[in-house]
Amino acid sequence: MSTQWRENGGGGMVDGIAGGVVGSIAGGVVGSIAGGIVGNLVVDLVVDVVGDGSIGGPGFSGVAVLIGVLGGVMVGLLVATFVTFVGVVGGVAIGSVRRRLRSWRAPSCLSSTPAPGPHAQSWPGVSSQWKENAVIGGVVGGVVGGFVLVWVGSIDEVFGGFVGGVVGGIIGILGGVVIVVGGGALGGGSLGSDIGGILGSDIGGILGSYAGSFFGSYVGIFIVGILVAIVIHVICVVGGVLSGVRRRLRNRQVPTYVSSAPAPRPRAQGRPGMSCQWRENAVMGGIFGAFGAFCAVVGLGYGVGVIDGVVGGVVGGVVGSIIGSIVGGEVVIGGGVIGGVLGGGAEGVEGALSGVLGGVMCGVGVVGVVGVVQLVSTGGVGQRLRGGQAPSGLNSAPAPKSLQWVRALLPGDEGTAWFSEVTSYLAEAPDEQIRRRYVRGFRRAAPQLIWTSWTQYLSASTRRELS
Amino acid sequence: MSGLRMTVAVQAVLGALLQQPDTELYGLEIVKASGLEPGTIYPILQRLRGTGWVSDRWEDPEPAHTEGRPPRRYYRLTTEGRARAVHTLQRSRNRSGLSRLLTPPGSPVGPPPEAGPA
Repeated sequence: MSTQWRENGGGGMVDGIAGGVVGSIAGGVVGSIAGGIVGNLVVDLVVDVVGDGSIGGPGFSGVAVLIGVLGGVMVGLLVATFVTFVGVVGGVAIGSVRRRLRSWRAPSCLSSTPAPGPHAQSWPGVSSQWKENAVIGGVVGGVVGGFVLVWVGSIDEVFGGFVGGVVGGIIGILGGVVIVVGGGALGGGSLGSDIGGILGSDIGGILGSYAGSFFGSYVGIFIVGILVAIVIHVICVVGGVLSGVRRRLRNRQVPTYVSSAPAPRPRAQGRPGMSCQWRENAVMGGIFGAFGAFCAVVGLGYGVGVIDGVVGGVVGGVVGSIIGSIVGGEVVIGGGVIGGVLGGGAEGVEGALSGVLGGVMCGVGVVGVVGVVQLVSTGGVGQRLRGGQAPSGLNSAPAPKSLQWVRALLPGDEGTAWFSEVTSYLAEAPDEQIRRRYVRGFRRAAPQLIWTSWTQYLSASTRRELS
Repeated sequence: MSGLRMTVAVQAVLGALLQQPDTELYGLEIVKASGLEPGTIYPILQRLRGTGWVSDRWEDPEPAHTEGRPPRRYYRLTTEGRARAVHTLQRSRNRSGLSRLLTPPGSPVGPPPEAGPA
């Protein structure tokens, strides 16, 4: 590991875990959806073609297995693509748009060079970012719920899909984009399957659901889990490489700082060595993604084999996610315990184990998704850790807006250079009182500064023209 | 004097830079050494830069980011500026004794080696 890794004091490890555990939730979600939907398809097929109580023949079992595997893979890929797209691209887009909007709001100065320090320092906070994620998450949850609703079709599963969408929306408000996608689809698929089985009240439906869930989960999840791990790995690596390329390009654009040239455009504070960090995250994300997919295969694949265990695990995961959103890492324990209790109440020891596994996996997935959302939107969970390592006495607050008018009135690049230096002073002010004193001083000296800057600028221009 | 008015504040900044003439100082170090406010020293440094007495450079972003702060802007006296500053402060001291308050003991204030025309 690089020096950066050590300097971050484990922040990268947290990011890596967070980035990688998405494999767990994605694999689990995909498997659950595949199992649930394929189960429903099998139910309908059985009822339509064979009739109630006529299933169980060896020929039909083979068809069910094939349908389960194919359906699981296809649906899993679809959902996995959607999850990763919304989670990664959406998160990056939100962060980018927000940053641009913030930069755009800044008063224009005479220089065309964008203001450096303050915007980077006022990198969007986690809380405001999460609000946006929650809103988008709610919308996406509703869309996914509706998708399940339309797709499944029959009235009982419509209800299931509706419930799934609502649950997804609620989780989305609590969590973020990917959670909602996962929660909505998971809720829609399994609840739809479960409610469909219960309301249908025919043995064929239950057996079909069992068969579809079992084969769909064991075989489909295995394939889809591996694919998801690969996709996530590729995304992480490509993202890391692109980030490094952008960083290099940005550095290349930085001019030589002589005379009144503006300060180097700083990256967001608390995100040192981002490209290196991303590369490490990519590696660790790949490792943990593969591990997460394996866990999903073993854990959720076993869990969804017993339908009550699925219900217990899902409910455990949902409740665990709520607990986790409040208390943090305890989501794993909370989800596992609650899932185990619910599953155990339904199906004895086997159900309890299934519920515990499903709940733990859901909980781990939720924690991972939380980490991934933060990783994408704000630079990672490790940012918090790194923030704690900042040297004492540093003030990361941006330069006040009351000074930006001065920058706008200074000629050429002088405004940008002045503002960068002001930012530097204020960032290193030992306390808030001195910081306010500095601000007052800069404001008082503004007229003289503007006069001096313009006289020098004009005399220099005149000299250039004469020569 | 290249259009540079030698006020008390300018002399204080020159005195701060002359304390460590071979070392680059960034703004807050000059603030501490001169006892002036940042808002005051910036225009002075700008004028000194405009007259060629002082050169500046921006700090490399990497160490700054490692320490989690914006890059600093470092200033140092040029060779010409150093000679002129020494000469100017010496003359002011001879004239009013003011530089005793502005220049700490042991600073390399003395007759300039080659005091060229201002």
